[in-house]
Amino acid sequence: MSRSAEHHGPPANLGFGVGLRPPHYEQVLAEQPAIDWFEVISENFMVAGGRPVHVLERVRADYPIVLHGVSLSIGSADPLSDSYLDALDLLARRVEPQWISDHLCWTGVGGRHAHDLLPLPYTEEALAHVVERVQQVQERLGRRILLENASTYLEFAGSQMPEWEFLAGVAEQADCGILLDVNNVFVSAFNHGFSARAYIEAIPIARVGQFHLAGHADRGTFLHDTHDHPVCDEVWDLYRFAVERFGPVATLIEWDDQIPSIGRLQAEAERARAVAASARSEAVA
Amino acid sequence: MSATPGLRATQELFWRLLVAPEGARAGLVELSPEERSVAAGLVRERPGMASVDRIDVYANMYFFRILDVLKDDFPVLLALVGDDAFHNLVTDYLLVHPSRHWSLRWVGERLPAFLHDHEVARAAPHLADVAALEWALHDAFDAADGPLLRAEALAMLAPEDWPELTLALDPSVRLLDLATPATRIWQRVKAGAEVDARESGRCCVRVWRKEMRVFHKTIAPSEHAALRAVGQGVAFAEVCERSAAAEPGDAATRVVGWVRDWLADGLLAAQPRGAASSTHSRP
Repeated sequence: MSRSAEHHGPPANLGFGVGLRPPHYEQVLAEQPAIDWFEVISENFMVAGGRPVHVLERVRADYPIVLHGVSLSIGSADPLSDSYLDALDLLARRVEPQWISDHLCWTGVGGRHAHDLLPLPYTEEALAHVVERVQQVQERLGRRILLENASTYLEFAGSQMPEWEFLAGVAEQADCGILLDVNNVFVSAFNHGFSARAYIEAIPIARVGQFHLAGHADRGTFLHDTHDHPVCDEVWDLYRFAVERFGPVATLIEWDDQIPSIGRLQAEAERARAVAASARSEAVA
Repeated sequence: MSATPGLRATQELFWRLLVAPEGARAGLVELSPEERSVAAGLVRERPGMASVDRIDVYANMYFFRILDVLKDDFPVLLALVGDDAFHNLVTDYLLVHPSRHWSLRWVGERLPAFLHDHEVARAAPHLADVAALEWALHDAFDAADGPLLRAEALAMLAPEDWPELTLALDPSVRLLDLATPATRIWQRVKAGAEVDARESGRCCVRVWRKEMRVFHKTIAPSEHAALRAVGQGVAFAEVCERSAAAEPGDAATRVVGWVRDWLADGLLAAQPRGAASSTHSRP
């Protein structure tokens, strides 16, 4: 059976996955741990050859793969990068991922790259700009993409709408999916003083194709999306709330710093499975 | 009160505060009065956190993310200069060479050349060479894969075919001709031994990847000249001549010996216009 993605249908519910990171390459190849699916950072494999390409080629034979990018820079005032889209398209042809995602943000301007997920002003101008570019990207890749809400640490004074309205507007107008990062909703809600639940309730149900869960750090005056902690209890509660709203959606544990054992990641994914199951059974009851 | 800037103006202004080497607050001072007025109203205040401090969260993430990547890419350079000097070097580097590629993989590409003229390397010219070696190792790691030339392909050649033979290098091969003994210094640092910054002496290096691992080897200038010639696609006779220019003697015998090493190490690519197709093979 072909495992290539359906280019126009909604994303499949792949179950509960984890991010594939270099410290686990050897173990994943040797032991094939019981994990439903892996997400990889696209850019780490957008290289000519060598070990990363070799590892992904083998992992994809055993697991469903999702490509998660950090450099699309969908909100930049600069033109979309042809070299980036060419490399992403080439990778997608090689890997045949279940889907491709990136972030609602910009990562550079004036030909310079910050390599960070920078916040957008939520204006009508920016909305039209992002919508047009998502359409271009989807046309170029021949498939629908998912855009993720990033954690943000500031809000532009010129914003004309809240982030959830902007994200929903992009998804509806550009016909793309949403990767709802539950931890990022929680982090941004704290940082800007809005209700995380109100955010989630404003996201159109049919657009959400994936959840992210991760840990963050408390810096006193703000929360920092560090991906170096377990998922905290408040985010588990918010995840339960999200599952009640959106139903069973592919869920992924992200852990990028102080990376624990693969067993610890599996345990975190299993906890997500349990939380989602109990949220569903309560919803049905 | 200034008008709300558009998307590009917002991003350009934000960028200047993001990359300000002393932080966003100091970056504000560098702006013109008009820009400062716009920048002051760019970001919403939040109780307990001034808007400029919110921008600084991003300014810190920008710098430290790239600093961490460069520490990973240049671990021996970092060990040689120490944390503080490396931090200052990267600060200066990013001012001149902000990242121009969407992938962090390339962010250190210009650091070796930048070091040549940087004050930290003024009394220590080996630093730029060590950085060049580390970049070559980094570069070879994910270079393109290609089929290697097999020894049997050459064994089939008649002696009279050799002068016209054209070899090709594997895409991972990098060649360095450095003015200081960078490989010796690199090895000392890796072994945790003392480094004598006064050490001198040219050092030629070949870097390559074999079975997913990256290797490097210090080689004679004559082998370096031969490999360079191979990389330029010249015929074997010319490879020998160029090698002889670097070291007198029986170059052909020497180069044939190296070809055996190159085959064993996986430095030679099976090229389409390969030995067998462009020359007469033994029946």
